[in-house]
Amino acid sequence: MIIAVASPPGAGKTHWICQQIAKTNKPVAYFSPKTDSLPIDTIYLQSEYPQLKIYQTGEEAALLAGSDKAMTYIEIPWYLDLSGIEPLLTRLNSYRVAIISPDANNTEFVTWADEVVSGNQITKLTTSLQIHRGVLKGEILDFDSLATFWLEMTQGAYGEVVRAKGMFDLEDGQIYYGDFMPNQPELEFEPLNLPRWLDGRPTRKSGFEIVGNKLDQAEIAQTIKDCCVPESAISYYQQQLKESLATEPEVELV
Amino acid sequence: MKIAVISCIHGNYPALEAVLLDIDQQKASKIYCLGDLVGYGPHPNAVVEQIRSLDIPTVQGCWDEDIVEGLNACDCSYPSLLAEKRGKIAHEWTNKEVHPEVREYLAQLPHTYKEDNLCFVHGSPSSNHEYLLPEMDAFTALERVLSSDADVLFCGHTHVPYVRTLDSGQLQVKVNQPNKDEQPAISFNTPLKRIINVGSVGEPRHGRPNATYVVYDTETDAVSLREVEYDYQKTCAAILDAGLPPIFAWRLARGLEFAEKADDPTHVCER
Repeated sequence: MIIAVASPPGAGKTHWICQQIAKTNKPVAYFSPKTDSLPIDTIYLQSEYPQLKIYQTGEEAALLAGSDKAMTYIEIPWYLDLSGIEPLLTRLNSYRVAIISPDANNTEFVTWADEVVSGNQITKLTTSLQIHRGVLKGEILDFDSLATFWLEMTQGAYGEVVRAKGMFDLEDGQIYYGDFMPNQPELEFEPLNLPRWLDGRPTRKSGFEIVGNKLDQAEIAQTIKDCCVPESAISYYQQQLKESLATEPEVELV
Repeated sequence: MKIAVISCIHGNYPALEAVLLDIDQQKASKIYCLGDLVGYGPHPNAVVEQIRSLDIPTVQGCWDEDIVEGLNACDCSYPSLLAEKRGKIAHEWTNKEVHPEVREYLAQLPHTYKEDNLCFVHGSPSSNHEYLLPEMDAFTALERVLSSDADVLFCGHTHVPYVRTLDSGQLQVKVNQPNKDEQPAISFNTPLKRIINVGSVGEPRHGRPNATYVVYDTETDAVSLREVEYDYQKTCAAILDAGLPPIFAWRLARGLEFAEKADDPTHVCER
């Protein structure tokens, strides 16, 4: 079965999919179209559920072929036009679930959906939303700097923010996930369940996505740059970490 | 006698003006200043000129020291790479802006100032970069006050005001040396001591933009932590006009300070 999931930004698509995966012990697959350059939700889900089968753009035929063996979720980013993706959904004969917010204009989603699920309350903006995606290319950030930037960003220092999420490689070799929605309890940055990267600049994908209004993109980019560990310090940090991990005593649970 | 103790003005002249007015209303007989007259804020010269003109006994803060000696502190000065980048921008701007006589004044400021049983420092008697945080362990805190040879130690630097009373107690010291007979323990009683952090006039870190300082009564030992409203928007506008990073104004308006305290409160700068 293929289930397509759509919602306004921040209403809780990924969270709902997570809940469905947690409920089943059958094989599950996932595809999020047009997010290949920065697949934040994909990587998050993969770290939570390593057995999850991931499809990328161009693998739609394989997705269709595999859908009789696995429950397949298609997470439709809010910025994709539903009518634009309609031919694909029709071809895949997908069931449609809309996650709606009590405060948003849900008419389009309700009309589109086979099933409507109540989601998060989201901030209503009178102006149109803007999205700023920052794709990082191997940058390693300093945790305290990132925490400062994230606090400033979510409190409006770089424009009004209604949704933000990001994945950042930090100096301890782990990749951290951050998620922000106004009116929701703030989540601490947490390391994803992925291997530490301790050999030079990471080649895996990382970056952030900020949705809001009047976003100062240049200032955001500069601040992120100022959070980065300089080239000269990366190998030093990594060497220190390797040594400390090698000497860490094993803990035996009795 | 009532005295007023101010600290960490950080080039914020409107905040200093408001605090001086409040001190006048509190009828304090004397004012002391714990340094960091400059750095981050847009009015370093005006602040120093005002402090000088009022002949306020002042100790040197870490920012004052950096303007005189250059940035040569160890890593402890900044808690993050982002804070370091911003701190350097503020340092370079201030360094270009200060008049020669202001630099000369900052250069001759002492690290500690003592009057009767009161001692005035910026960070701690050990270093003007050290943070005497309220949660610092009592033994270390007591050692810092004892080393100042005072009963009341006034400090700033953390930008968050507090009063800490270290009750009198008994300490026992015993030194064990290898290959030597056991040494006798030495016991002594410590008198009651206090640490008073006076907060920050120009760069608060308590979640509101208001300036803070302390009024202390030398006869009754009463401490009053004062929080003074001022036109912080004026300072924010001056930050933008001066070409300083807009984030400085944003943080000032929210009482977030420009940079955060060091992670390790007991770390002493190795400069």
